[in-house]
This record gives sequence, C-alpha cells and structure tokens, in this order.
Amino acid sequence: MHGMGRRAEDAVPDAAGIIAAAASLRDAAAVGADRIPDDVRRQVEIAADRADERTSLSALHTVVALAGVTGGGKSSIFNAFVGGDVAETGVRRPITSQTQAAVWGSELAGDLLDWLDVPRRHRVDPVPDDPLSGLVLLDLPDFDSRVTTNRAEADRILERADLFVWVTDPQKYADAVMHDDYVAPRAAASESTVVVLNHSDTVAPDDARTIEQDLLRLLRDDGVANPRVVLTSAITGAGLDELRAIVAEVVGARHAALLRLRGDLRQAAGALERTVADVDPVLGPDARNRLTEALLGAAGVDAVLDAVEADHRRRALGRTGWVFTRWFRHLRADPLRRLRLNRGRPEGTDEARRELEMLVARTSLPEPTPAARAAVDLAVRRVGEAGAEGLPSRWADAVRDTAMASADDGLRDALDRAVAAEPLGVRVPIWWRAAGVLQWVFGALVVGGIAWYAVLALLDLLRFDTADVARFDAVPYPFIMIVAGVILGVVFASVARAVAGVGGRRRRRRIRRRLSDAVARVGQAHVIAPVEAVIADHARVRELTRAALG
Amino acid sequence: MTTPTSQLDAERLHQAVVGLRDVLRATELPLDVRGAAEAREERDAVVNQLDDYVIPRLAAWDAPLLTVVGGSTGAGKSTLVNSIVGDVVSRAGVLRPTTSAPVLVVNPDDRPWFIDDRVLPGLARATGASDGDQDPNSVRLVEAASLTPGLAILDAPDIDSVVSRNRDLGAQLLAAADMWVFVTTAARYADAVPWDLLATAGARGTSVAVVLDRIPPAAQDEIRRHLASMLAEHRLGDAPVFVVPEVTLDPRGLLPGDRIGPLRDWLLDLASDQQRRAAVVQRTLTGALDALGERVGVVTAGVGEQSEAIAALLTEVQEAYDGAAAGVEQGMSDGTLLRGEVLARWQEYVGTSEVFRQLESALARLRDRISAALTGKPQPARPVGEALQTGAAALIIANAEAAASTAARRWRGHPAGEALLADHPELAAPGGDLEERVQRVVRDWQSMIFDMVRTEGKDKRSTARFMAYGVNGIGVMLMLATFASTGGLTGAEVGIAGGSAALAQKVLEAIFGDQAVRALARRAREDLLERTAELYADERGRFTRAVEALGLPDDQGERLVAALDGVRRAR
Repeated sequence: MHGMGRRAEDAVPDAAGIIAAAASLRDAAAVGADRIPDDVRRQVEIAADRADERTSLSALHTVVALAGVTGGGKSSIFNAFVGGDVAETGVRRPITSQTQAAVWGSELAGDLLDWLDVPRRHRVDPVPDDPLSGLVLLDLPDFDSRVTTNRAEADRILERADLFVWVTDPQKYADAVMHDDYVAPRAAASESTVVVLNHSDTVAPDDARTIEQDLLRLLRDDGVANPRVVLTSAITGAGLDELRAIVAEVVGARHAALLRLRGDLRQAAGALERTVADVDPVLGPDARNRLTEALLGAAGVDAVLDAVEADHRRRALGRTGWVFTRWFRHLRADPLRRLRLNRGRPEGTDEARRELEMLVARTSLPEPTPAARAAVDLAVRRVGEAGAEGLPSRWADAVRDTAMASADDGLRDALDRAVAAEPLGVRVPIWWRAAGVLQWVFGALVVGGIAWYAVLALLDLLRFDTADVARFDAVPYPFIMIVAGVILGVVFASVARAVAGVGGRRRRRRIRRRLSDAVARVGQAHVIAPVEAVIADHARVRELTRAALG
Repeated sequence: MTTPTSQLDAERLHQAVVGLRDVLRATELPLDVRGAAEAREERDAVVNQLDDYVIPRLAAWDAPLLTVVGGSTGAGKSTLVNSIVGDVVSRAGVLRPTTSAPVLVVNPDDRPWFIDDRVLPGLARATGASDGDQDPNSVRLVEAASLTPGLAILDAPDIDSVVSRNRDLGAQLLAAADMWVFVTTAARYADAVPWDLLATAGARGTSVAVVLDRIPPAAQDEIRRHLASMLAEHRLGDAPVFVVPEVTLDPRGLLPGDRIGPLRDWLLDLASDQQRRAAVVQRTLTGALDALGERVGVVTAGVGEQSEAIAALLTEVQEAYDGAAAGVEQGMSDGTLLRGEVLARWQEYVGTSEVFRQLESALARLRDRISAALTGKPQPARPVGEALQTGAAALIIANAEAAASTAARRWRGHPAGEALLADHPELAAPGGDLEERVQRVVRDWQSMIFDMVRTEGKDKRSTARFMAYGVNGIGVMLMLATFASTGGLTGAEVGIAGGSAALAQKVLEAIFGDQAVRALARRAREDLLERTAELYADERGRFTRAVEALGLPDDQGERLVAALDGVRRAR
C-alpha cells in the first residue's frame, strides 16, 4: 500500500488532525456505503469512534497496558511499578482475571477510567516531579490461557489503551498466539509497541541476548517497524529501570494516545483503501458513441429522418412542382404529421404553453424493434463494462447495476421527448419562392396560349373576320407559348425535384446531427451520468481515505 | 474392539481402513463454501493419522511402541528426550522454536521397523549425525542402545510457535503416536493451545502421560494439584503426571539422573511389559478408530455442502436460461416482433403505396397477381422475411445475453460461484459465435417453414392464390401468423400490428383451410421454441462444463459412508 515507508518520520499528530482524519474516514465509509464490505466499514467506525472518544478525554494521561502471556509476570512488573503488592501474584495459572489500574500524579483520571471500564483502581501517592506523573498503568489478564473470559477482557482493554507493553518470557517469546493474534494485527500502531522479555534471569546472559535478537526478528516479521525489546526480571529487578524510563518518556511526551489513534485510523484507512482501485475508469468516446448510435436506433430516428426527407421533397414539390400537378401531393399523407412530429410549434412565443406541449408531446414513432432494444441493452452493458473496468468487484457490480437499471421506460420516454422536442426546421428556402414564381410564369404561358386559341376560336365561331394569328416563321405564337410553357414547366420541375432531393438529403443530415446531439444528451443524462456518479463516489472514497492517511 | 485374535480379523480391518483412507484421499472439496476449510483440514488430518498410525499399527501389532514427546515451544521437550536417552540426540536451545525436524530415537534392534516408510510415510528418513540444517520434511533416525527394544521415542516440533509448519507437523506427529508424553511447564500448563489438543486426546481415549517440566520446587505441589484437577476435567484423570523441577543441567545439557529417573523407568518398564504395552496401544488405537465416525462425518458434511453448492449454482443457471426461454416465448406471442420494420416491409409488400393501402386488400392481391402473372415470379417477399429473421434473431440474442449476465451475477453472489467465475471470466458474456449460431437457427427454422408450406401445399400448388404468392410469400405469411397467434389456439390475435397478421391469416386460411393454418402455425412456433431451447441448452452448457471441470464426483458422500461402514463392520 501507499506510504508505508514514510510513517516512521511522521511528525507527532495533533488532536485536531486525528479528529479530521476520523471524520474523513467516516465520510469515506458513508460515501462508499454498501460498496464497501461490512467488516471494513465496521473497522472504520470503531477506529473513528474511538478517536473521537479518546480525544475528548484527558490528554494529560497516558494509558499503558501490560498485556501478555500467562505466567509472563505482568502482575509482578505492575507491582514493581506501583511499589507494593497491589496485584495478586502466584504460581497458579492464570492468576489475574480482572484488570487492575494504577494512576500516577495529582490529576484525576476518573472519566478516562470510567471509559476504560476498570473498576479496580489504585492511586499511587503523588510525588513532586514524578516522571511517571500522568501514567495510567493497567495490569491485564493473560490472552493465552484456557480461561477464555480472560482473553475477552484483555481484548476489550487493548482496544482502548494508548501504549502496549507486551510481556513475554524466554519460554513463550515465539508463541503464535502473541505474534499472530496480538502483535501483528496492531503493528500499524508500532509507535505504541514495547515488548518486555521478563524472567530473563532464568537463562544465561548470552542466551538472553540471543533471544532478544530472535525476538526482534520475529517482531519485524510481524510488521513492527521499530520494535523495542526490554529484558527484565521482576525477581532481580534487572531492566525495570530501563522499562520505567521508556514509559516515563512516553508519558512525558503526552502523545502516545494520539499515536495509537493515528495507527488505528491508518490501519482502518489501509483496509478501506484496499476496497478501492488506484485509478478511476474513464468512459471513453467509444462507449459513448456506441450508446448514442444504439439510442438513435431505439428512438426510431431513421423513421423520423425518412419522414423529414419525404416532407422536404413533398413541400418542395408543392412550391416548385409544375403548377398543374401540384394538387397531386394532397393524395399522400404528410409524413411528419403521421409521426405527429410536425405540430408547427410557434417558436419562442408562449414559453408556458410550449412547456406544456413538451410534457404531453408523445410521438407516434414506431416501437423500437427487438433488434433496436437489444442494441440498447448491449450498448448500456458496454457502458457498464467500461465503467467497471479495473474496479474491485463490489464497485464493479454497482457500476454494472446502475448502467443496466438505466435502460428502463424512463430512458424510452426521455428519448421520445427529445425527438419530439427537436425542431425539424420547416423554413422555406428562397430558391423555392423564385422557382415558384417561375413555375407560375410557365403556367401563365400555357394558360395564355390556350386563352389566345380560345379567343381565336370564339371569334371564329362568331364569324368575325379574324386576322391571321401572329406567327414565328410558320408556327403560331400561342402554340409556342403552350409548348414552351409545358416543356419549361415540366423540365424545370424535374430539375427542381432533383435539387430538392439533394436539399432533402442535406436536411436529413443536418437533422440527424441535431437529433444525434439530443439523443446523446439523453444518454448522458440517463445512462452516463448515473454511472459516472458511481465512479465519482469511488474516487471520493479514495480521496477521503488518502486524506485520512495524510 | 478386542485384540485381533485371528489373523483374518486383523487383515479384514486393515483392508477396510486402507479402503477408507483411499476414499478419503480421493475426496475432492474444491469449492470454497461454508465448512469447506474445516472439511479439508479434517480430511487431511484423518488421512495422515490413518497413514501414519492406524494402518501401520494394524499391519504390525507387535511393532515397537511409538511414544511422541510433544508440547509447547520452550517446554524442554528436547532436553527431556536427551535425558531419557542419556545422550544428546536432539538439539536443545534457547531459541524458539528449537526443534523443527522431528527426531526418532530407537533401539538398534528396532531400527528395521522404522527405516522404511511403514510409519510416517510422508517424511523422509535421515540417519547419522545432524548437520544442523533441519529439514521439516524428514525425520532423523537415531539409534540408542540405552532404550529398551520395543520403545521408540519421537521428539516432535512444538504445537504453538509462530512457525506454522512446526505447529502442523507437531499436531500430525501426536496423531501418529501410540502414546503421548505431553510436556508442559509452570508457565505453560494453563495455555489454551495445548489444552485444545489434550481435550481431543481425552475425548478419544488416547494414552497420555504428562510431564510438568521446569517447575520451581516451591510451587510444585500447588501446580501439580491444579494440573491434576484440570486433567480430570478433560477425562484424563488417569494419566500419570511426572514432575521435573527446574534444575541446573549437567555440562552436556542433560537433566540429572535422579530428576529424570521416574519418567525414564516408567517408560522402560512399559516397553518391556508385553501386556501393559498392548493395553496402551489398544486404548489409543480404539480411540482413533472410534473417532473415525465423527471425523469422517465432518468430511461427509463438507462433501454435502459441496454438492449443495453445485446444485444451487446449476439451479441459478437453469433459472436464468428458463427465464430467457420464457422471454423468447413471450416476445413471439405478444406481437412485438411484428412492429417496426416488419410492419413497414409488410405494408410495402401487400400495399406498396399510401393510395393503394386505402383500398381493399383484395385490390392489392389482384394487382399482385397481375404482376406475378406478368413477371412470372411472385412479389418479392424477401424483405419481410429478412425483417422477421432479424427480429427473431435479435429476440433470441438479447435473451441469451441477459441470461448469461443474470447467471453470472447470481454466481458472483455465491462464494463458490465467485471463484468459478474468476477462473472462467468468459461466462458472463454469451458464447463466442452466438450471433452466427442464432442466425443459423432462424435460417434453419425458415427453411423448415418453407418445407412445411411445400408439403402442405402439394395439392394446392395449382391454385391461383398459391401461385400468386409462391412458397416464399406464403412461408412469410405463415411466420407472421406464427408470431401473432398464441400457438394458433386462440386464432388471430389482433395486436397493435395484428392487422397485417390478420390479413396474412386470411390469405392462409383461404389456401389451406382454417384448421390446417392453426396446426401449421403451432408447429412452426413449437419448432422455433425447440430450436431456441437447444441453443440455450448449449449456452447453459458453458456453465455446466465449468462446474464439471471441477471434477467433483457425485457419489463421494456415499462412498465415504460405505467405506466408513466397511471399517465398522470389520471391527
């Protein structure tokens, strides 16, 4: 994990920093919620609670717990510190089954002892300038005997002590119980770890040194960064002064509690950090584009575009078609109206009415085909997979769940609305008007020619002596008018139709771009955003955890 | 059990135990479900004990008594063994744990009993001087004339130090003993770990002698009384207790003769007294055999958990794919397949234009017939067929994908399934060429429909209608009718797009007759569902194969019970 190496050089923490780290971890656990395993969340909660509780209690006192194996001589050392037979000692194992406390100094530590829940308290007579002033020494029951209640009591106190003094002896110093169950799990609080090798007088001095080295090796294997081992003998009194000096130094510095709390918070933070990945997955353009394409299919955009193109051609025909065949288009239904898309929304007039219209706007686009629906499912699943890439399984599941849950009716509704709300642009190109005028001119030519003939015929019928009709060479002008009008009208209409076809395709492309943007926005809001929210949570947990790690 | 009086009885029991050992050894517990760890541990422990102790003891009733000196680290086991033998055979020291390779001390006459792998077959034999490099996978064989023939003493590694290999080996060696000499000290005698082992020994009736080592003389009586009461609590009240006070060792690191005397004499007497020796062996062996029922029961329960887990996993998969099949069935009957593209193509097919769509379909048919007559080929039905094919394929694919992801998700929520998925990550997505296989299924189904139309329409080939639409056109109509009607039982079910299907139905009825169309539609429907079910069975097979790859035999539980029963009957 991160920064294991830098801990030893860390500055002494202050209470505010501890409280901030606890709050940060608590926030991280809250943000992570069920995406963090229960036991890790519990660990965070316990560490944070303890940090809050301990920092609210006496900072002048340092709680030192004498813990260790049965027969290790915890009570003898305790008595040596107190200077009297306060704790019971003997040869029967185990002896101590209740925790005994002794308090040094003039300050009372009632609240602290209440919090520790130690009813057996001994007040050591205050001596001026006592280097141990402020010490709360606890004699714990053993943790390795067959009396399991002893172990439970030891565990309870160890949760709350500021400094651990592990007491062992040449026989038991390599026991699995002490190393595997006690020292190693608390190695993160290694600043708070002192090991006493008691009964060192029972082996030869050289052997004792050898054992000390072996014990230091075992402690390093446990993960204790700077193990401190003191060789003592409660019987000869050897080493007790050294131990007293170490304890006095810790008590005098008054920061053992904070170091312990920091160690626990770091351990909890480490556990929390292991539940998140180092980097956050990024939803690349690939997943987004695929989603947009699938959503376009599901929204029936092709049908809309077909209608748009047909509509363009139809209206172009209405404006630029040959005047005598324009009526024909009325035989066909308005393609946009059929999809209930062309409702002639007056743009920017009455904001409220438009809103209402948007709310009730339901297109009659065809239902997405199973193929389109499957494509949406697949695209959404891809988004989930892309978003879950590299995440630990709980986070990955959360991302996938979120993605899959987004492909619901809400998405379909939103798509429908997005398509309905997109203006399809019914403006009339200028050339249509010009072409319309031209077509009227050509129409007028035809009508004029026919009228000319009609007048001639009428005059003829009425037996007027009609002058010969004007001619161009041998061809009469009215005939030229009719033929020219028809040919020009029809030819021009087909040219216009071709141009309108090109225009229709261009409009199709433009509308497709706009619809594609609108659909992409829906995908962003309904699929991408929820997934990114989960990823953001993941990042937030990591940041908060790192912040707590300092 | 009685002493095997006849050679035959002993041989039968030996065979039965060997059989049980073989079955146990072959028992697989690959899934990490609840209880799997304990079951594995118990299986290995029982196999070890059968190999190390029960089988060799049954094979050679008169082999020397194997006494294992075991206990906590630092209790002074090696010093004790050295002192009994009267020579430094096992290194003693202050570093913990001192002994990591076991040392077996035997009389030179007994050497043949131990030099081969009759006992402790898992450990290599080392002889000669110790080279200081302790290999925990070997046992060092030391000959000492000071031991009575018939007695072998094994100095075992500790049972509670930080070195886990030592702990495991220590426990395994204790299980291989005819008798435990359990060594503890004044500081140790109330430790939890040794008492767990002693409790087991008490429960099984293992022969135990306890040595209270390194006792301060002043505390001797109090500790001895306390220990005796604790032993009585654990049904070990009759175990002899020897007290060895904390004394200065002689220059060779041995206990003075008068301190070790009582224990040494007791052991040597035991070895030379045929009857007492047999009683000790008998007691331990009986205990080990009696305990088999309960211990194998743990393994059997573990096997049960494995089978249950597998059944649960397979059920999840089955449910997921059943759901997929139901999804396809529903998609085929609720008319969804007929919407969208199919509808559009159908309209193109029957009506081509908006104007004509307003007119009666009869007119369309007339026109189609004319065009068919003119061109000599039916109106192209292909686009409708293709649209239907795409729709049906998409329906099947979508459901297969959903089923794969559902099954994978359910597995992920299961401790055993999670491990399986980690080994087979590809399971979460449908099989590689799914799309192609689905297309093939749908294509096969279509050709089956065309075949059906051809067979059914044999006599109607010449009718004008049949000619007008051709086999393809009628086949497509049959597909439409299939997707619109619920199995042809309720007739034409008019859904959103039902109009088109109703028209198809009408045409079909006119050609084949009412009854025949329903039968055809039903057959077409069932055929597609059947093909889909086959495809899904293939898909499901990927999961089943992953489970089968574990190689978990079905009858493990029964075989265990039978083998255990064999041992019981042979006793």
